[in-house]
Amino acid sequence: MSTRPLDLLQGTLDLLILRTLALQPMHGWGISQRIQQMSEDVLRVNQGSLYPALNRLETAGWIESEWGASENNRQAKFYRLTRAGEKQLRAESESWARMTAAVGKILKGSEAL
Amino acid sequence: MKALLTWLRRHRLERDLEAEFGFHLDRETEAGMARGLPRDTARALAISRFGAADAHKADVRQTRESFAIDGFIDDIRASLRSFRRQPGFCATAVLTLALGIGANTAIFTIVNAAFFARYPLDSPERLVRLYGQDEPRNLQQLGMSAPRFQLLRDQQTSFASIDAATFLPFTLGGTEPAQVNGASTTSSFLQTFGARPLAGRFFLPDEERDASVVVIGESLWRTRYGADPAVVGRVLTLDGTPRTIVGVAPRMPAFWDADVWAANPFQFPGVGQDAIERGFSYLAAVGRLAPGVSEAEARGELDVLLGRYRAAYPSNADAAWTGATVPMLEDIVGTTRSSILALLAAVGLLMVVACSNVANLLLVRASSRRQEIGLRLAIGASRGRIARQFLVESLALSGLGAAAGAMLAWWALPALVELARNNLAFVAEIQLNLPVLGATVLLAVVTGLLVGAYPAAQGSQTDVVSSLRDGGRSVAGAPKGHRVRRVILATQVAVSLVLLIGAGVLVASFLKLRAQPPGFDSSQVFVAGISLPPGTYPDGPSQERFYFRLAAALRNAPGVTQATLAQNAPLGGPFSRAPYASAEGDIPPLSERPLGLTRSVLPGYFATLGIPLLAGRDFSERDTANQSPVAVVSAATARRLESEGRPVLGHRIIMGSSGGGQVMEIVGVVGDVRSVTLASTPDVEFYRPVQQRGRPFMQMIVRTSGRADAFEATARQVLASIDPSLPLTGATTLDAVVTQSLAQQRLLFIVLAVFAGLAVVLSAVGIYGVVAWYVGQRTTEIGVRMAMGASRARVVRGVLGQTLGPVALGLAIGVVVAASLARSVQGLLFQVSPLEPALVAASTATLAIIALIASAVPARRASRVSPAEAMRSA
Repeated sequence: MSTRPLDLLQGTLDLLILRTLALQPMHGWGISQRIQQMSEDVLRVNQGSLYPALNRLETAGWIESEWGASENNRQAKFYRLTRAGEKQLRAESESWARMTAAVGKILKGSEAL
Repeated sequence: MKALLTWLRRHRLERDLEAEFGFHLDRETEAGMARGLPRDTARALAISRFGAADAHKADVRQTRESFAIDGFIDDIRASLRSFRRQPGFCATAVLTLALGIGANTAIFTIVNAAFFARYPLDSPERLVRLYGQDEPRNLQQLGMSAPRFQLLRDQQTSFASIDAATFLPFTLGGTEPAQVNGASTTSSFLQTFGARPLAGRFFLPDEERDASVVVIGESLWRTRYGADPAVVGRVLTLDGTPRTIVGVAPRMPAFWDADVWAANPFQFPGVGQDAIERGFSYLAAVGRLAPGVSEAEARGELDVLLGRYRAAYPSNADAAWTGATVPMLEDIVGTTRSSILALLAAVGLLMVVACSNVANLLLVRASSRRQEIGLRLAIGASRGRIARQFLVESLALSGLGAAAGAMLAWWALPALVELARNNLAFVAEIQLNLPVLGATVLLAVVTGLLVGAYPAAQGSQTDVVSSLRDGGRSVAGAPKGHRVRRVILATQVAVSLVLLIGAGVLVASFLKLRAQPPGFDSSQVFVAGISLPPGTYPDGPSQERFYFRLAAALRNAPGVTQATLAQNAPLGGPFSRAPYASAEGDIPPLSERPLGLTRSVLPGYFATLGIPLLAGRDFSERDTANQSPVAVVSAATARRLESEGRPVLGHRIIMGSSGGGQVMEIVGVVGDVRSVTLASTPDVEFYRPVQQRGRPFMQMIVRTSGRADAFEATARQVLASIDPSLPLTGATTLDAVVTQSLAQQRLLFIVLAVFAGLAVVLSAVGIYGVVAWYVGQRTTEIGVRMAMGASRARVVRGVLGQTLGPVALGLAIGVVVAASLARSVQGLLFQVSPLEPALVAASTATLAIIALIASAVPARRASRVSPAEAMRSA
């Protein structure tokens, strides 16, 4: 097995962004760093998917953005979870857990063969 | 403007992304430097990790645009795009709405003119029309006599002012003599109405009995004097007498308008001063309520003053009459009110049908878009967004419908106005204007919301997973949506049936009225008016000589079989009534004598019109003013006298109000003529020789051997050969006069029939649409059934079962609703019950058959489904 960081699957990125923003409002770079950190460098966020995803989530009304001062006192665009976003996060986390559990079961079953 | 907004928004998005990406790269570079890399290397690494910024930007833009719901304008643009993809759906919906909204706009326009029209008058709502009424004889809306008016004017306190006028034609002299609408008024009449002079002034108080000054009306001022303000001071010749123009009056509402306003209201051509003093009621009186006085208070005072009049003039013809008041704005609309309300109700019902149809179309469309909606929900569109998109779509549809409808109304209005011209008094005021357009826009918005609400709620509740899994097709169908569609269908059918029955009874009523025998032969008869100015024809003998010469000249003209003159042709315009009583035995006082229609005619009137002479004789040239007075009566009058046990011929009656009435002998009986309305025969009708009852206005009545309408040129030549200064007015045919007398009924039935036809067509489209959708949804199921041996007939029955239930329910509800509305249309009908069983049955059957056909077409298609095909496409 390689230790090279994995690219994220389409769809899971939305879930991870929502999860990250549930901790605190954050700018784009911060989000990508945080996902990488929290996954202990296993997951790497492709910038080419990050920004479209942020825009998608914003148009869906799950997150909102605002320009503000960053940690080094520069202008940065901060994203924040909305009420609808919190709900969406709960729903998606749950179905993710069920799906991984199911996939896990199947894979275990295949090992037993 | 829109382009600028879009550009601004896109520009801001680009700038934001630029800044955001810049910040990202800076932080990435700093992070690299923090790990000990040199600045340049860190920067290069950051850029390479970030990838192609332009491509990212394009991705972001695409994300945004794939939602295409950034704002309302985007929604509308998306709607229009989707309409372009489905032109059939779009055209049907817009056309349906355009019909509904267009019809409503046209009717609103008429209603607006009827109830809300603004006349160029100061507070017209304070104006009150004063009528007399004779309760024992059940006569309403009577005019006012000069002594009665003068007493009221002198003693009343409830009105700021009261005035009176009488409207009659004047002859304008000049190189081309013309007959114009004239009015003789009290001095402050125009001021009381709230009019303001366009030039010069109105009459001064001491000019009331002054024959030398006139005010001209706006239309004459524009047509004859080119709207020249210097017209004041000029002289015109009126009825052969020179008059000085002192001012110009604005156009007045409806029948209150005149080309020339003169003073001297207390005399009337052809009526002696004695008759005027004895209560000849020819004046139209109007009052402007004093500040703070209500109409009811004014009427209270009127009753007191009329009591004084009774006491002062006990023998006057109008002594026993009571008073009545009607607000002027209501009076102008008059008898057309009930017709207008019927039109308003009909157009409202049509709108219900149109809206139901579009709601159904939208529902069908929504269910065929389940897959698209599911997909959009799956990629993150919120349900609110989806609902909004649906609403915006229906609003865009109704907006397009409103625009098309307004155009339709604008296009149809002249035809409608033409249709209405002679039975809606205010027709000149009808035009599309701002309040009406406002109402149309409001209607469009309300329609859009009503029609779009349910599909919006439905669409936004689409289940993501199942909609995607089924690939937008559903084997079972959406039962709830289908139920709603059936409810809409039943409503549509019910409303259409109500309209159909309504139109049916109106048509039946009209045909019945049309088929009434009028009592005279109107074919090939030419009719035109002549009025004799008092200047050249000052007295009875001079007028009489003229009439006899004219009649003789007409009889000798080419193409004439018979010719005569009379005060009025039957059904043609105003009629006069005179008090009468039997002159044998006790004679009741003048004020208690009933009123009978009276018509002055020349010898030959009955023969020319084909009215049979039943007994006695016609008038002759020997019935002169010096001979003993004679009269001819109608058969109904004769029956009435016979029932009182009196012989008719030779019977003496007393008639008229002048000198307490004139005694005359009945010399003839003629057939009954429906001379006032085709709906009924007058109870009492008297004919008098013109030599004994002179009139300054007469109509020539000419039976021609060729076409009656081609006779006008000859008639003018004949008239000019006798007196070239006289104009010929209102040339028409008697057939046209008869047709014209039914104008209001015709207008109502044509409009209602058109509405009912539209409603039925729309319902058929609705039924077809629902069945076609049902079949489309169940192609697979039908295929399976047929594969398993179901017969075609069984499949067709199954499909028909879907609509026939709601249709039957709708028909039942329609009959019930029609029954409950029956009473309110009773007054508009002639000898037809609003629930004529045959008509109700025929309407119901018609609609049922149309519904059957509309569902049978798609049902047959269902039975042709090839099982193999259907299962493969599943």
